[in-house]
Amino acid sequence: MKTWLIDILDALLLRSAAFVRVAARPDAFFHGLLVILVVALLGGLPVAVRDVIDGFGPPAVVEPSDLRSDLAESLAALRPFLRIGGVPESMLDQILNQVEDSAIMAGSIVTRLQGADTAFPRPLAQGLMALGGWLSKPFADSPWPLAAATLATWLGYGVWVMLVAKLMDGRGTLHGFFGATAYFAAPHILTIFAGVPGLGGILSAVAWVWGVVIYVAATAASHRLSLGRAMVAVFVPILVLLAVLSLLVLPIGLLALFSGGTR
Amino acid sequence: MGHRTLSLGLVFRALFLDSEAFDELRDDDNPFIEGLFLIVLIGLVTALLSLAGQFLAWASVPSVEAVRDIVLETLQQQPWWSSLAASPASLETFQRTWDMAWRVFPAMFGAPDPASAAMNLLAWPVWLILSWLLYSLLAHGFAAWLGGRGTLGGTLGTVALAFTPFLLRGLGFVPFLVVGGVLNTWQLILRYKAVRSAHGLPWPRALAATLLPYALYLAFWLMTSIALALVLGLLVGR
Repeated sequence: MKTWLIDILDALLLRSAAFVRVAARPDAFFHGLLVILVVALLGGLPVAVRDVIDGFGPPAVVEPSDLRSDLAESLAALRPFLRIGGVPESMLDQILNQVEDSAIMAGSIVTRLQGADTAFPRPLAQGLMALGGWLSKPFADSPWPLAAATLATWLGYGVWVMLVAKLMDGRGTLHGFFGATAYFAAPHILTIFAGVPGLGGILSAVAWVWGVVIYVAATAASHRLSLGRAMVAVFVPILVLLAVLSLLVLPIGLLALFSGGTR
Repeated sequence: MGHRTLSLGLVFRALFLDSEAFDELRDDDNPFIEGLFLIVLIGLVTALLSLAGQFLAWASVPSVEAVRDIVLETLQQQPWWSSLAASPASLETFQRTWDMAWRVFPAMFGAPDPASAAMNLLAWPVWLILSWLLYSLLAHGFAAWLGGRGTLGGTLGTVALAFTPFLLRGLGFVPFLVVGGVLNTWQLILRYKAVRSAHGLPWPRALAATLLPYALYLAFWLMTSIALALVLGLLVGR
């Protein structure tokens, strides 16, 4: 346990010896898996605890008046997009009113469902839901590669980086590479503060950038590549992904633009 | 009675990318039987654990009937409901659509259903066996074409170990836990290790032999979709 914590600290401080050490371990993959699991679960703990505590209280009530005031800003933000989308001015209010009515109806349904009977008593049922949601954290998707401590981004993005690194004469093994790069998750422990207003977003951004830097250093160490080549291996997959997306999205956007312009 | 290589330790070593675990099963006197046993066991154990999770989830949420009644009562309180209710034809159409939707939506949105989960005790092992046999045959064919020296039995044995990430589906005994698509990536990595171990190919060829069956699946589904679209187009156009 002590060695494990020292390795994590060394990785956070970008000491390449930590990456080399873990990459050489026969159980490097398991070691990496543990890092992701522990960070993801610790990061999700505050929300899980809050949900369990909420389960002991009365069911949440969504008041239509509260929902209406919450929705006002979102609907105002939606208006320009509807205009760009070619919705006639005369229909804008009607559409936005329908959206508001639907949201209030959904809120009413949720309120009533919260109070509906279940076979298990409410605290137990809510506790099980919180437990399931919490244990799902390591398996969740990441909005962007390496933006969260999840297995999906670790393995899903990792296979592409591994492929590019191999094509660049990287000499790492699969288990060594995954073991070393799992340390990108360590800074994401900061997401434990995600709920703090104002601070949460900043800390998540810091964790992401820090994690990417660790990922590059780990790729370099595990594949015995220079930092420059490791950066190419790490960023080429995302650049290819962006290129493919823009090739798909750009024609659709141009089509929408020109079809809107001919009206 | 042959020597038994398969053990819990071997399964976990394969799951965590230990190349020697694949080599050990490849060198077994009957890797096909060991692989078949493992595949059936994975299917049964995960289905059984998921059944327990589905039961717990079912007991933690309101029944589908209660949800349906709440939604209907809320709809009936909307201002537009009176005009709908005034027209018997509209009301009948609504009722028909409503009944059909509630036959489809609960399953579509993953409402807990212990009865369907019980069916998985049969469905998952059968599906896993078919998937294992098909992938192993294709991967073996492509690997041999690319110069692989492995036996079909060896490929079947090592590919069976590549199914071990499905064991994570067993975590489904925790209700509301969603494992997601990571299992497919994990399995792909293990399939590469399985093909490489069975055929002793250099990494680019092993990767090609691993991926070519997926390309074939994709081509098959594309051709089937196009054929279906053409048939539907012809039927509608008549």
